[in-house]
Amino acid sequence: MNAPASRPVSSDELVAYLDGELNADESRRIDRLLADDARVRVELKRLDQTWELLDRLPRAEVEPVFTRSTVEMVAVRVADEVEHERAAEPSRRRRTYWLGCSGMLLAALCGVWASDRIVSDPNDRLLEDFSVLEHLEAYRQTPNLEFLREALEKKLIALGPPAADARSHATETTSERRVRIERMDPRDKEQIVRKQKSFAELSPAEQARLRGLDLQVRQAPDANDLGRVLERLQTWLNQLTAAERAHLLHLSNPEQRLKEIEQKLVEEATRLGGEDARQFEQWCEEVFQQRLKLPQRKKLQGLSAEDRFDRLQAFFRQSAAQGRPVWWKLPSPEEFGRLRERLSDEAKAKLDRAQGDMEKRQLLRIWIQDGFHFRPTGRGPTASGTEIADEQQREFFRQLPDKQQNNLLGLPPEEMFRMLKRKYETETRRKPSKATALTE
Amino acid sequence: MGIGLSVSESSAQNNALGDPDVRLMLQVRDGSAAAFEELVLRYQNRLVTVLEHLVGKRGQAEDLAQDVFLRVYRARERYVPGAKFSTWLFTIANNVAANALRSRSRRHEVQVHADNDASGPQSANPLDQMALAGSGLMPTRQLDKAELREIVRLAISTLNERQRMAVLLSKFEEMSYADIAAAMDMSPQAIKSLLSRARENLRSVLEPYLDRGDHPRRDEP
Repeated sequence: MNAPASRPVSSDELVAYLDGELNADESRRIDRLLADDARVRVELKRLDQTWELLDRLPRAEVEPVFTRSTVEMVAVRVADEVEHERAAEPSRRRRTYWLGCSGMLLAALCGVWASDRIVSDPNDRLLEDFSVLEHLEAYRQTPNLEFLREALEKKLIALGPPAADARSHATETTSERRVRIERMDPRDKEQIVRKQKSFAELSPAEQARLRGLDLQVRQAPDANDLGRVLERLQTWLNQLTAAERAHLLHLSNPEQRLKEIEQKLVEEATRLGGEDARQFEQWCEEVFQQRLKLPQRKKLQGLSAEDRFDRLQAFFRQSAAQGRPVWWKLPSPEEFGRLRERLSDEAKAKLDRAQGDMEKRQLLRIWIQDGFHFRPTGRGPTASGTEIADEQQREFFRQLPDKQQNNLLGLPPEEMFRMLKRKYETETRRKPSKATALTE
Repeated sequence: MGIGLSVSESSAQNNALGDPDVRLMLQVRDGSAAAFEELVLRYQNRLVTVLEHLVGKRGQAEDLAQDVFLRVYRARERYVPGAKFSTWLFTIANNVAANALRSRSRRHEVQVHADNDASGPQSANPLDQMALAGSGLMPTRQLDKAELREIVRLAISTLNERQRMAVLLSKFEEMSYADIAAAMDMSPQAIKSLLSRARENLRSVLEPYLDRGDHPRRDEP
């Protein structure tokens, strides 16, 4: 039934009409009013014009570092809360009390040690803290000396050749350090001053902890090796994504953190790259499609490669969430054989190293998680399904404002490329002409 | 309105599961840090945009956006898919922004104003300077893009808090009345009236400027 057009139109109705919120009858009534009444047309046009002006409002684009700081802030806050709740548990109260007391005691001792040694001259303060400042980020990421020693003994990270002057730095006197600072490159000096400011913003307890840790490392018989583990671990951590890094750094139990780092390193060593990853993806499609129910399999037919990937990804996620991950039922030796034929020699060797069923499951888990689970866009590096060619990326990067370029360059390499691709992707969606221009 | 939406209808849940962001949030619930990072990446700009226009300061908007993401993460274990993820997120954003604006008014700070703090990217062109520069006698004078942007921003700041939020969700997030109603804990009918009044207000502020160059005036607190 059509609504009568004669009833005067309200402002609410006109606005809802513009917003597409009226039902069919109501819309038709407004259509008729618009056709018949010039005043309604003017009224609607004015409302629409001012609404369109809101398109002039700028849309925010946060700096790439915002994502990283958000994820890390959330991880820290949640870890603090968990720690707080744990401390409140009655069964652990006493131990927590003593742990807390010992922590405070250690901090106080270090504070006393530091205040004894630090004189009022700010240059002397810089000298005293210089060793801490040189490794500030690495120390911040290290829970204690035992953690470093354990990492060293487990040979978690290949140390590489020692720096020629590492040992002498560990044992240098204050006057030697003063000379070294004086001879420093101005940019390095500037960096140390920045670190000094960051250090000053830390809590007194954390400052004391870092000074204590530095002293322990420098006085250890294996100071040189510990220093190299410290730096190598930091370099490795910085290559992780913000989420991975935050997860590791906020595991409060050092043993658990080492265990997860170890596991991650094993996974890194087993990862597939480039063409091998693509071959594995295709093999997965062939092998695991058979495990779908017939109607699901039929649905896959005729889909684009991207949509098939999405469906398969959903299937893998679902099976893992239900506690029946696809890798639990191993493919047959013949199917593994077909995979092996497609892989490079390096990837073949990784596959061959997995001997028993458990090892094969572990390998499949890593490859599937790496290839399918942790690609939320589901289509390789860009959601649009196309790889961004190096030249396109470079060109796109060059077109960014200096500030954005600098922000990107300040990120760990992996994160930088990820952000760059995402930015490119966003621009592609927003301004197709610009993206087209880049591809031509 | 609480941040854990409880929806009894299974159809609503099924609909929600069609939302890829809901699926990501379910992964966050199951402990995936990568999924959380992806959600932050997908929503950070949208959230900061809405919050910046709501509170008027870029720095504060970023702080509030981080607070919203923190609340999302804290609520992950209680998360039940019952609506679009964006509706749930902006429900939290609405609560966070309302609290921030309340605290600000308690501290007798200046009402939301259009000029950014120094950290914001659009901090040029103070409004007073523009008012002096703008000729009120030229009805159809060509408006400078930056000037027009500032005028629109000022017009938005004349709306009350609820009108502003409804307008921003409608304009930037293209939300339906039902979704805006869910995010703001109001009825769709109330949102219809709210948006209508907001548009009328915007028109009354912007039209004189467009027609005659009359500069809109900010409401004093």
